Amino acid sequence: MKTSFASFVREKRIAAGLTLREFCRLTGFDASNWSKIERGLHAPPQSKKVLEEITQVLKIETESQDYKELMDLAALASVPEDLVEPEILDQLPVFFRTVRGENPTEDELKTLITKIRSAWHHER
Amino acid sequence: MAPRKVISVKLTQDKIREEAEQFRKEHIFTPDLPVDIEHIAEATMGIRIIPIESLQKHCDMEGFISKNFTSIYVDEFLYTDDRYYKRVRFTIAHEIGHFVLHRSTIDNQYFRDEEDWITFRMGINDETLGWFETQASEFAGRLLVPIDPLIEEFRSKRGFVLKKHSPWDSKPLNDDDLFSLIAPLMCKRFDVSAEVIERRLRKENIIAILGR
Repeated sequence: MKTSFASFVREKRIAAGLTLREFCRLTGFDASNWSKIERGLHAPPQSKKVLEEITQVLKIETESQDYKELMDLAALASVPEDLVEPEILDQLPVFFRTVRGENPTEDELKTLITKIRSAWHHER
Repeated sequence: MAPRKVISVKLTQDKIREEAEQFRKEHIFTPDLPVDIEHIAEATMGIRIIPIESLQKHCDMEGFISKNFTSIYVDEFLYTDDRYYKRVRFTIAHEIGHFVLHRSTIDNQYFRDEEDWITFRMGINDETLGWFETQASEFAGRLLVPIDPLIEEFRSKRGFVLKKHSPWDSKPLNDDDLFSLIAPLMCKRFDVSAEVIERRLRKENIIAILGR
């Protein structure tokens, strides 16, 4: 399967020993948005300056093969028209940790469905 | 259709300990502390961490693992704020606990549609849920705070605490006081809250192991 920008940067981030949280702190990206980029739901940044910052945080040397690949993948990347959203029922939890330790209300459960759907919404 | 029932699985403390140690063997390749739970979830289990805005505020939830075990969702604010990151670490370990301990229960649930899922969730009673949640938390505590370093830390800090808080004319500290005074000094190494350390000290019956 052809490598995408999304899978490439995720793989490099994990290989660099960075959590999503650490990566976002170092680059200034919003965590939920970057998570969408890593899932291929948002297009990657196109600014060379931003992409270079990403390569620095990922410890990718300038002009290395990985550097070129990241730049190429960013240039080529777009969110596919036929991207299939995951089955929302598979993303729903059976158990969850609540703050007040009680079963959530029906409204809270409906809100959760909306939030999960939104987390997988892709923007072209 | 008759309402479906989730039967609480009553695992013993020994079983949870065994499962946590087995998980450690299979997924954690370094004795370093704190346990890098987020990296373990992503790198060795292939689970995505997905931050969601206002998950706690709007849904009263700190996090959850998806039914198909591919994603752990966390509250974005808690996830990115240093003051709450300990809680998020514990939540991730807790959700891994559900994966390890309750996989078959989760796998056995089938939802026709979203309404069916809501009906299912509203129908689980608090006592049953309590069992599952307590077990997942027990697993998380054992994973993040392994027994040997727990004993080591307790041993190295207790003399200081006993000396500092035992003036000549007052009663000696009881175990509960000792735990609550020593836990904040021990939690840094494990990057968990003092409450988690206190619970671990009690569960491991540390006084019986080491004395005071």
